[in-house]
Amino acid sequence: MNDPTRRAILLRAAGLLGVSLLPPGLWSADPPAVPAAPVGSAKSLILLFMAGGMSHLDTFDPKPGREVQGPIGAIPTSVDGVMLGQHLPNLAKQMGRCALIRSLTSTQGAHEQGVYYMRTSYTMRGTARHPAVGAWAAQLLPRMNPTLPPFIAIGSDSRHPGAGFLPAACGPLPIGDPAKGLQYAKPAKGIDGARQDHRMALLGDLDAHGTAPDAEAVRAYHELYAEAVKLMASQDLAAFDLSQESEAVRDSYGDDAFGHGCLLARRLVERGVRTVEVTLGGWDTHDDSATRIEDRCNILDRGLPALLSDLASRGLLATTMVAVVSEFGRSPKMNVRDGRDHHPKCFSALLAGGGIRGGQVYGASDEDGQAPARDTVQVPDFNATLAYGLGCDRTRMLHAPDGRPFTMADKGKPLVSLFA
Amino acid sequence: MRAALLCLLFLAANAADPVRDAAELDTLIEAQLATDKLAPQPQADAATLQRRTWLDLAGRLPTVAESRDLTDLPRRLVGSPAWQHATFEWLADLLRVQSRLQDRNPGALWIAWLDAAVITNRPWDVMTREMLTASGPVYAADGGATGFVMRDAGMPLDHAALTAQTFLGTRIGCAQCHDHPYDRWTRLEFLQFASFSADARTDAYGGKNNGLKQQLKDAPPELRNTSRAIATFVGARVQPARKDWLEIPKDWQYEEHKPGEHVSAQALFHPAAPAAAGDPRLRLAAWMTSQENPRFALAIGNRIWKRMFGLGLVEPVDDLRGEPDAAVPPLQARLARLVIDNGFDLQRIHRTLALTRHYGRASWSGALPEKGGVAPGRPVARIPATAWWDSLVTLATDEPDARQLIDIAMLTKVRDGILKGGADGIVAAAQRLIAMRKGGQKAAKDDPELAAVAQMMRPSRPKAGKDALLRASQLPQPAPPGHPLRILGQSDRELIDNASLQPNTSQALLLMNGVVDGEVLSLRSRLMHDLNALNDPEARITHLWQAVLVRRATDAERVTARNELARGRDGLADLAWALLNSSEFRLVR
Repeated sequence: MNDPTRRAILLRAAGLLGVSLLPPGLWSADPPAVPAAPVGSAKSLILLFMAGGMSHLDTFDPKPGREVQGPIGAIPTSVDGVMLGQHLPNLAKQMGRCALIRSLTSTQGAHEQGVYYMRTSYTMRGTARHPAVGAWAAQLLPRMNPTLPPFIAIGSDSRHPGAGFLPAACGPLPIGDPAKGLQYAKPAKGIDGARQDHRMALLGDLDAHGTAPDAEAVRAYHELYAEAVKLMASQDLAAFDLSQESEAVRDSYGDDAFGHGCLLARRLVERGVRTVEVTLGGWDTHDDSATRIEDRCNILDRGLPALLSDLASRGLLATTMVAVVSEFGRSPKMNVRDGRDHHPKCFSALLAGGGIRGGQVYGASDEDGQAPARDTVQVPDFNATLAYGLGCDRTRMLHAPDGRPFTMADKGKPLVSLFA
Repeated sequence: MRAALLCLLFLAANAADPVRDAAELDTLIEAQLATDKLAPQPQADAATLQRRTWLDLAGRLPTVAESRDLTDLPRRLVGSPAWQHATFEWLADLLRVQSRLQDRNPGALWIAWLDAAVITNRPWDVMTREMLTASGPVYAADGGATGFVMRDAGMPLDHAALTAQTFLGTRIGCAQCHDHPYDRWTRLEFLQFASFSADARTDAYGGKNNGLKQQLKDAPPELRNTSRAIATFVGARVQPARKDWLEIPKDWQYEEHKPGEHVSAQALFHPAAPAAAGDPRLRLAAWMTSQENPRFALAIGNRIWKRMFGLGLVEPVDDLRGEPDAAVPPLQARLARLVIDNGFDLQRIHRTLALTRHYGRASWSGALPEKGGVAPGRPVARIPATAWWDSLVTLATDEPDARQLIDIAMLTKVRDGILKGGADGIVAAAQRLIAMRKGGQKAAKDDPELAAVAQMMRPSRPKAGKDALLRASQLPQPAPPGHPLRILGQSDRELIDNASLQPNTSQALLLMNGVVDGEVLSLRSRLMHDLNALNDPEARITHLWQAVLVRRATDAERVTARNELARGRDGLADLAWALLNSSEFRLVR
């Protein structure tokens, strides 16, 4: 095939996908020789996002005996020498499955910017929008289930960066209330398959003759309507129906939105969904943090341990990476309102499954949890670890519409030593 | 005194002339486009402009009857009931209005305050002063503005950062912990700014030391939660700030000043805040809304500019950077002056922008400058969530702009009644409330005062049930997760301007299988009622295209439509379904 033709096809394909695969002016350049990216053993990722800024001292990095510890104490875990906050007793029993990172640091101390950075590995800037980790995975890895979307976000906030500049279908399918499952997946009453097909054909006809311009806002929906049609016909729609689980299983996860979300996440990864994000909000504990954190921990300490046990008993833990993370930690020094303020300089995360060696702690904070004391982990390093676990090619550059190149996890270095 | 005031008002009103101001803006806009080597788009056709104007200023499509009159739209729409709904939502996204504030406090009074401000067209500087200085009981006739303070209860530093972002379009949040890496703000300046408002406190029980919280611990267990919920808001009040300083925190990393030292309130930039005794927030508000403040007018002007032209002169709209006193480009300066000349009158400013030649230009789907500016025409974009939902409501119901106001007088009367009884009164109210919930509507009728308590506990308007076919402004703020509005991208009100235009598959499913068949194509809907009342197929096609796309059907579309209508009722429904799912319906252009 001669070069101009190839270029034309690429250009057209890129236009269809709403993403340029090559930077302008580099059409004929040979691709640089890149080392093969290491391949992890995880097939899926369940990302549990603790929105609001989870206090590391009261959860994954307690400082017993220090003045900063405040009213919430520490408890031992099933792993010698590793302690957790006192309101995580169930998780403590499963420490052998988990790796803690206690030296995470972020440059972003406000919620919006912090969440964005954690989700995308890039800081917010101008009008550019970067893809979330799940969107990168959807773009870089083959689809495991042809009808379920590769990225599903449960209970997340209204400004998820989503697909960023990648094709809209890489963005998360949002589930507002996991107990209700996927809404509107069945045709309205009285609309059978033939009628549905007729409607879609009619829509195609009117759109083709309509006056809508060739704009990104138009192309994205064409892609998503195609996804919606596939999803409606999916044999796996039952994945969204939590009532198919036994009462015992449902009880174990807890009867709250986060518990439902974790259970739904398990049902989705079981059917080959690549990334499921579940949000647990309410961690912005500026005042009376002891009460509020206990309340959050009670929820986290049901859903997360139940998820780990359930995945393990189904043989899914080896191929499913579970990550617990927040946009930042909270100040070791308590404020005058018995709360803790934002603290991006040092915080913690948890990883389990998907090849992670359990029972270990990576990095450490100083004696009061103020700053990382060793093995500092930047936000892109954390996301690179997720990418490594999933076997994503972190060197693969994709270009935003204006030609700027980006990679999954922005050149972060994966914490390879965490893996067994 | 009064004569002088009237005279001032007269002068302020005269300084602005919408037609002349619009022409001046056009000159500057065209100069900017010429500098950027961009050719302005020609004027849009009348139908496109009509649809755009309705979506921007009324937040919904016009009904077929409304669409017959194309004259003088900016004047007719700005200030109309439809505008009030749309403007409520626009401001609610900016101000993070929530039906439930922290500590279970219902946001009903705050919502009522915003209603009144929008309906009476309260100038933006007045609204700002009311919010910045709000204090006293929340459940009082004039207590609504406390919602802005309550919204960030317990987070005085965040509140300061959010205040700057909301009213100055300036992000100083980074300087909460260290000097701002990309802008000029130092950590010291942040603390000085936060010192104005940091001491204002929210007391859920009407004061920490009044013993109410303690007494309610002895309430019977089955009544305890409800009692507490009532107590938190009947007594809720914002205590005015007294001190105007903050302590330098322990993790201070700079040479100048030492931890424990006091820093006093200081304005972020020129002009200096006036010195005065009393609540330091009064000084903050006076400084903030001063006509000499170079950022206040520009910040709101830039937001209105974005609402009307689809792209802010500065993007993101709350990221004005650099030295506030430095000269800004002529168009920005002219916009700020427009805001001031119009006395911060939001309606007049919107109207002036709508009168520009630039507002009437054909759409633009080319690249946009990342940091904002002027596009050659209206950037093609997805319809905002609230306008999408409100347009569906318009098609489905007879009175899309129906409104229910919150009865503040009734709420405050009930509050006073409960408070008189102290802890016992609260427990008694809880008991009756629980009994009434079991008893349902009938019980409520028997005890109107208690029905009022129940209404007070409710976070929103009287009939804002989750299935109600009402405009977004009339539903809980925000609508609950999973509601069509949220699927379409309505803000969750956690962050400033948090509505999203991101497309996702759930939106496609909602439009394909949910709200269209369920509500818009229901035989009870206004659209289907009107269509069924027409016998002539050609008239039906005309009506359908006008109602959904606000334009005439083309000849090719008519051919397709006739084939569908020949199939009878199903054909009509399918045709309407297809238009409601079409690319064109989803766009603002």
